[in-house]
Amino acid sequence: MSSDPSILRVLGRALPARAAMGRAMSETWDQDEAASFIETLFAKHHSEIHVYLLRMVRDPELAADLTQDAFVKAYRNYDTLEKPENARAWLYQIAHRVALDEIRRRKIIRFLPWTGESRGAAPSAEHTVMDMRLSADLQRALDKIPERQRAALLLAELHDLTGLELAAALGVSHVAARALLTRARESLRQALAAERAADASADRGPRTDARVGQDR
Amino acid sequence: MNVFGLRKRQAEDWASPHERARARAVQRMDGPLGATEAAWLDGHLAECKACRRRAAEYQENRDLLRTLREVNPSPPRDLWARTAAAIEVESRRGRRGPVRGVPIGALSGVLVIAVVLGATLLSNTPTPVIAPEANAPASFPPAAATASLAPGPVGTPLAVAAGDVRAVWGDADGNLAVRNLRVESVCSKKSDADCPTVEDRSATDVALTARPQTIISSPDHKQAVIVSKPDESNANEVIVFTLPTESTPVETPEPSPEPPGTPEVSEPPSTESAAPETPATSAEPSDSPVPSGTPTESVEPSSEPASPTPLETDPPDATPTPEAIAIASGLIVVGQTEAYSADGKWFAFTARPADSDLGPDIYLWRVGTQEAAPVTRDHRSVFASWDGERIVGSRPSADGPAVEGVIFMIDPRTGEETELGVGWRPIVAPDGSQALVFDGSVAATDGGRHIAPAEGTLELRDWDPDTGTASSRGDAVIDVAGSMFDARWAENGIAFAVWVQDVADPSFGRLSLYFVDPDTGELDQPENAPREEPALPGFSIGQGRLAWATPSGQGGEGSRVQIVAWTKDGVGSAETAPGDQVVVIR
Repeated sequence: MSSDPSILRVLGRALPARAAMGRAMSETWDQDEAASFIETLFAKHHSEIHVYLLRMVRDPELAADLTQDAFVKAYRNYDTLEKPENARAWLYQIAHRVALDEIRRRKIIRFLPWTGESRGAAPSAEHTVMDMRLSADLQRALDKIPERQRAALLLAELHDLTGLELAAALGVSHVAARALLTRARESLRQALAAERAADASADRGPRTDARVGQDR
Repeated sequence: MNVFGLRKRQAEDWASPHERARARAVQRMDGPLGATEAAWLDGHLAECKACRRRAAEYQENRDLLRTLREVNPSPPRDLWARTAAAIEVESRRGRRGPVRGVPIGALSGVLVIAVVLGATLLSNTPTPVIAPEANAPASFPPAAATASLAPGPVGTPLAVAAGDVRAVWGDADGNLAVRNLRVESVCSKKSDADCPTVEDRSATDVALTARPQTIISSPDHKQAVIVSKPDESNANEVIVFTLPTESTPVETPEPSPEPPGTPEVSEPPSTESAAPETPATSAEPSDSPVPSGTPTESVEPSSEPASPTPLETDPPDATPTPEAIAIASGLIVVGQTEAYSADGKWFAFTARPADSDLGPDIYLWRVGTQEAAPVTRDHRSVFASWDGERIVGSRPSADGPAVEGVIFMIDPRTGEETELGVGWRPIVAPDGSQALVFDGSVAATDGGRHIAPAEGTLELRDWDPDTGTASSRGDAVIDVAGSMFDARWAENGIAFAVWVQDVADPSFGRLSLYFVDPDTGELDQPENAPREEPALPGFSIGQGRLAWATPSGQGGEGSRVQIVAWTKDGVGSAETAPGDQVVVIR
């Protein structure tokens, strides 16, 4: 069994019904056509898919592996892509499923920083401390909210998916996707507030100076 | 599921204007509100500093989140080379095995099956029906009955061979009665004025001191377990009582294993009399595929609920006050997980003590004994379902708002426990080949006292009792989000229903019905099958029908029992008149 029915199923629900019944029912499909199509998709979208997976699993090696998996799955399920214009949401859906499977399998979430090497010119020391604390709080807060909520927030805020694309990527209805996003915003608010409260109490305590270093 | 409820909420439904303002403020982050709500929100924010601060907080968090856009690490340079190689391997494998790669895809399978099933279930659905009245002759020859008669758009009743539905009704004085509802015909359109109201076949008063919250019938329909409504200390009582003996629905023909295929009989819309006519087939079990379309008895509409039809035997020894014993008390029964084992020897449920901080355990009652006892001791276990004679349960792997669930099995005779794998609350099908499994995270909060799904989807998966469910592959059934759910199979394993509690108003939820193709395992929701219908907790499914109590209506109207029944020709529904304190016996 090399296809993942759940991907296809949700896709079928979230994206418009397939017009190409004839192609779907035929026993074969053109593998060369599929391979070249996936190559085009890869060229266009692999960076954003990779960044999304990296944001979800926060491990560069693993994110690269998962990106590869996602494109192989896309190739395998090429015939489930209804319209080329839906390809991006379709890819995100596959990547999302790959990420959730991985997260649930391993419960990974490593504490790798979101920021760091890719920062440009060194800003003032004060700025760095502020940024690092903010980003560490955000990172921990994101870790604490359920993974589907995290995915919804990342996709909506950082990957510019439209409402319909988001629904397709998450494999739920448009209404459910919006509700998930609403819950996610509230969860993030609470989680961030908790992180800041923890910071504040740590600042009052004796460990003030050690905080930043420990944030990793 | 919307965190703020899927029902359109009226202004007065909100606990406070602040709650409403905060909900709207966060919703507005992802799309415009309606003009009225938007104007109301702006007005409120102008007045209320705390809500304004909250709205600003959502916006600040969005800005903070968007700072992550600056971080865009590049993928490894060789990523395409690796991916292309993997695709190459994949494609060679696909060429060797004829259909091994299966890119023809589950989706195409879905569509094909949907077409086939749709054709089976709805083959007789009239293509745009002309002159509906012509479909409703005053009498109908059997030939017409086997021809193309179907749930037409005008509510031509569809005769069904569904099993009786039983429910407990309360009256204004607090007296309870068990009623048997005979479902003989259903209509394709709900709330069709011409569709006859479902009447009782019989009713028996029962003397119960406790108000029932949930009632579960034993497989032989001779006794039932009642979970009472919580008392002042929030505790439920679990009571076993003997069902009135006349209510055994033995005379119902066995529905066939396909979405039941008893040939249907069209009945005229009952314009003059609300009494459903009784085809002879429903009084005598018969394998004959050709029902006599000749009505033999016509039941007079009666205001007396306790009037069995002349066709029924009324046992003289029917006792009006059945025996009732409490098998557990001082417990808070959790969720809607209670169930008898298929052989009727055991009854399991989930509960936690009302007087302590301990979390839930699985309780087991050996039928015939005096008391239920816990079979788990970790205070974080939830009963899921029976797999044959074994208890299937799950527990969170840790404490936290989003942790993993672990599935295990317990042999009720020895108490021996076997851990199976990751997942939450598998509802195993009657034949043990499939299960509905919640795939997602579980919230175990408040020191384990509160355990509930956090985020995830209910999936249909193959069930393997040796390993638990197979991997994460499955068909997504429904997004249950962070809500309590109740899912149960019909006895033949071709249909199941899922109830998902409303987030905003936990007193009710939404119920959907699904069919599983017995040959391919594909899911289907045919036309007229309920989808997210408002329902009180505790539905009943089996014998070709699904029954539930609707939430009380507007204007003080009570609950109704809503029944959906199916034949091979379609799905239709019918309902009773409204009543008080209606609990469907499941």
